[in-house]
Amino acid sequence: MIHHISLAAFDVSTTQLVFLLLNGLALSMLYILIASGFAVIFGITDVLNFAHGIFYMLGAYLAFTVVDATGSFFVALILGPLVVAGLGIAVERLTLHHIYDRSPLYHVLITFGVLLIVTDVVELIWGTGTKFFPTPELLGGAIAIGPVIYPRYRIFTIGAGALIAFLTWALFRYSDFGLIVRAGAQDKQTVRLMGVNIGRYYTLIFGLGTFLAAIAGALAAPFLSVNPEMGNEALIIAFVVVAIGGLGSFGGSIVAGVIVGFVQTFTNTFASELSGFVLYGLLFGVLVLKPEGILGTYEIREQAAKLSYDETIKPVNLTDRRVMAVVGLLLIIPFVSRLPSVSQYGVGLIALMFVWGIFALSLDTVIGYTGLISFGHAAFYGIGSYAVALLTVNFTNSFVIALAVAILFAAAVAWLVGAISARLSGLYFAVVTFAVGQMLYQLALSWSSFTGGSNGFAIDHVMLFGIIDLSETFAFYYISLLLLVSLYYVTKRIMDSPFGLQLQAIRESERRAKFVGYDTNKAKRRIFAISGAIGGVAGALVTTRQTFTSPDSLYWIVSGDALFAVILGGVGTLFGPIIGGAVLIGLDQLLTIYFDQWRMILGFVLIVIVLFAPRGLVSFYYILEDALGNDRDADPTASAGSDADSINGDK
Amino acid sequence: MLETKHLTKKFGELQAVSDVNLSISRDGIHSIIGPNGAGKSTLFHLLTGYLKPTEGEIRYNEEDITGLAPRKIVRKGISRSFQIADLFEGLTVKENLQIATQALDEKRNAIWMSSDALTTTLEKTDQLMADLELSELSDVRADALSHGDQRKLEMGLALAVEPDLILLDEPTAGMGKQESVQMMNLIQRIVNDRDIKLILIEHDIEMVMQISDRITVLNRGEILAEGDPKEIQANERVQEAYIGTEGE
Repeated sequence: MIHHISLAAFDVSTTQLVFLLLNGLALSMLYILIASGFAVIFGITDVLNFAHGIFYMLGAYLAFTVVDATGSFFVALILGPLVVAGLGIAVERLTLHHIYDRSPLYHVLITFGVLLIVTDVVELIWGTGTKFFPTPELLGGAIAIGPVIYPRYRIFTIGAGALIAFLTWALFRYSDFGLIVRAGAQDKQTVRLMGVNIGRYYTLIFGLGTFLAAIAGALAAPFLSVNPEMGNEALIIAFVVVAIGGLGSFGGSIVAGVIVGFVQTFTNTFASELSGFVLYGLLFGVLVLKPEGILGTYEIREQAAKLSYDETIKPVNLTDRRVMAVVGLLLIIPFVSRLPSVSQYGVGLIALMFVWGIFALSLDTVIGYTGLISFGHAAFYGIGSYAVALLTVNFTNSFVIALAVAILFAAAVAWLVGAISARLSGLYFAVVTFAVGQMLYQLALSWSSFTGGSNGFAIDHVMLFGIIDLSETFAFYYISLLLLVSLYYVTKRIMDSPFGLQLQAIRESERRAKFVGYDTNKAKRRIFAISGAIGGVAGALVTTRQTFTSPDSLYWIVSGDALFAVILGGVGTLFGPIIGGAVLIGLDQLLTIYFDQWRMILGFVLIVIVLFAPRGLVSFYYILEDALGNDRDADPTASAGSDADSINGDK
Repeated sequence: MLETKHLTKKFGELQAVSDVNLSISRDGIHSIIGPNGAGKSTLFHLLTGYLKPTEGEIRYNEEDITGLAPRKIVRKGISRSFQIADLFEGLTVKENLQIATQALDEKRNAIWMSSDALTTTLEKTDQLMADLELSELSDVRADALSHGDQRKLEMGLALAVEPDLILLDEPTAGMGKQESVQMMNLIQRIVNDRDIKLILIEHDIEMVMQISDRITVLNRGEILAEGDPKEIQANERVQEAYIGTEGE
């Protein structure tokens, strides 16, 4: 959260009040700028822009550099955001522009890839330290407003923010550009038929949205700190404000920007330890009472936000024989790799790959089969992690009990999340799950007596049957492999069941599923509970191995990585995401040895996969299969008379 | 069989359906006609629970079903098709019908068995595919079907739940003349064989006059006239409404 606005000491309460109101207003203006850019992009192009925060951050850093070079804050205030807008336009042109007809899930992933890349680029250029951004001389000092002596720069921020917000509003309300864009948001097809190249407008809208983010960053730079964390903070603010105000509603983001700005200012002053709770409590209340947000119009956009597959992947039946072959190979790996020092590391890494396979598998049941974009799966991973940790510290270090408790808690919370968000679909669902995940993260951070706060805490070794130490590499390797294979078969069976068929019906058309008589909300709650339970297993395993937990296990980046893994492997195939999770964490662990900026490489990989191989790694097999033509019939391992495809999962 | 009293739906200022009192009997085909924007589809949405009425009441076999969720209304025996086909697009014809048929099975929520173990469901699915003349397209994805076959499948999804009353919203929309006639013959045959009461929204007046036993004419959300085809044809207000709007 952004809560660095410091307060001077006061004696008189009216002075304090005026001061607070002005602070609230200044913060509100920043939030309005951040959120309105985000809302504009989503409202018109249906892209949930996870890169929004880093464009804000980039605005601040560029302004810093321009001030450094030219000495002029006003040049920086214009030039920085323009450069960022240019970058936004380039990103849109090179990536999103080509895939608007695809599921919004892919748009989210593109922006996530951009986020990974730019975050590392910023670190490369400007380092990780906090930059001191001097207040521009012209706007330095303070002025008297009634009884209050108030910094001149913040007054400027309020004025500039209001002016930019007003100009943006006027642009949409009164210009031809605005008219076409608003019409296009309602009905793309008709606008296209009228001879308008709507694609060009999308590019401009993306540029405008990133411009707004960047100028907010540049404005914020002199009184909030300039550091690599500011991007994430801004993204979360954008999410919270836009979810409260109504996704895609410009007016909503103004109303909610003011609400959030003031609520934060006041809670920071009077109950700073509660500020995270109050903010998310507010969000939670809105989402429960009015999930479309204060000024949102859910109905209109329901169809647009729906997750649909243009190229549904027919779940491939990975033959049992192939699975057994791979499992057999994996069983003997620890014995084959004899060199103690090397093998410990290698075996441990493969075990971790199993765990991430489990986690990605859990997400695939929700995304691939039910068509619900969960962007909060870190919640279940984290709950599993904390369940094991807290249980071990306070009660018992039995793995069986810890795992059972982890599964139970993760499933219960997931069921609740499913219940709250069941009415929503598409990106609305993504936003709600994101919010719930962040709420839990905030809870783990703030409730330090229970969770150890931001540092987390270490735990004892978790024991299986009281004799096998599961922090030990080989034992952990086998228990993870056992759980992975069991869970793969469990989910496979569930997906083949009548219930599984029902889930696919919901993915393809929830309305129709209702009209043939299914209780789709109930089905969503159930699959969420199942998925949460599996995610909980992954979290429990990681903590068992590392004998340590921290709020990082709940952070939204974990959810983003899980989504990445699912797409990387091949959404909707169960085994694809397992491979994806394994490859992702494998790359993660190996690259981090050689490069500090390894996530940048992952970002590129993600974008390339989304653009050129949207069916993920498993599609390489399909491509190969196409190339080989009918050779498959001669394959002795392919079961006769069945259309079951098989894949050699041995990578 | 189906009755409405003072059924009204407002969207803000607009009265899409206004004080509609219908009484639809068990026998024969009942058609609902009217110019564009007359409120026909909205009426269907109200009857099937897709929209909640602003005022009024819906009774089905003497039971009050006003405001029930769609899935509950389906269970009472009322199913429907949509004007724009709403299929499980990424799934095959067979899977589409299997999903709909399975909704009747008491094991529809089972998680620990194969869906292909529901043999009764599979038999019914095959039968329905045969009745709809879709058997040959069993393994074709719904979004790869021709328009005509998609309309058939759309109707199939409504039939699969074994309704006593089916509401078809322009089942021949977008079809050529000959194809429409074939489709209508198919519909008539199926509803007769399965003894299903049919309520139809249809644009093709000529066809409506041929096949309907009773017709309700809606205009601007209100019932303009009701009667058998001959009475409707002779009704001056109906003629006026049609000529009036077509001139617009």
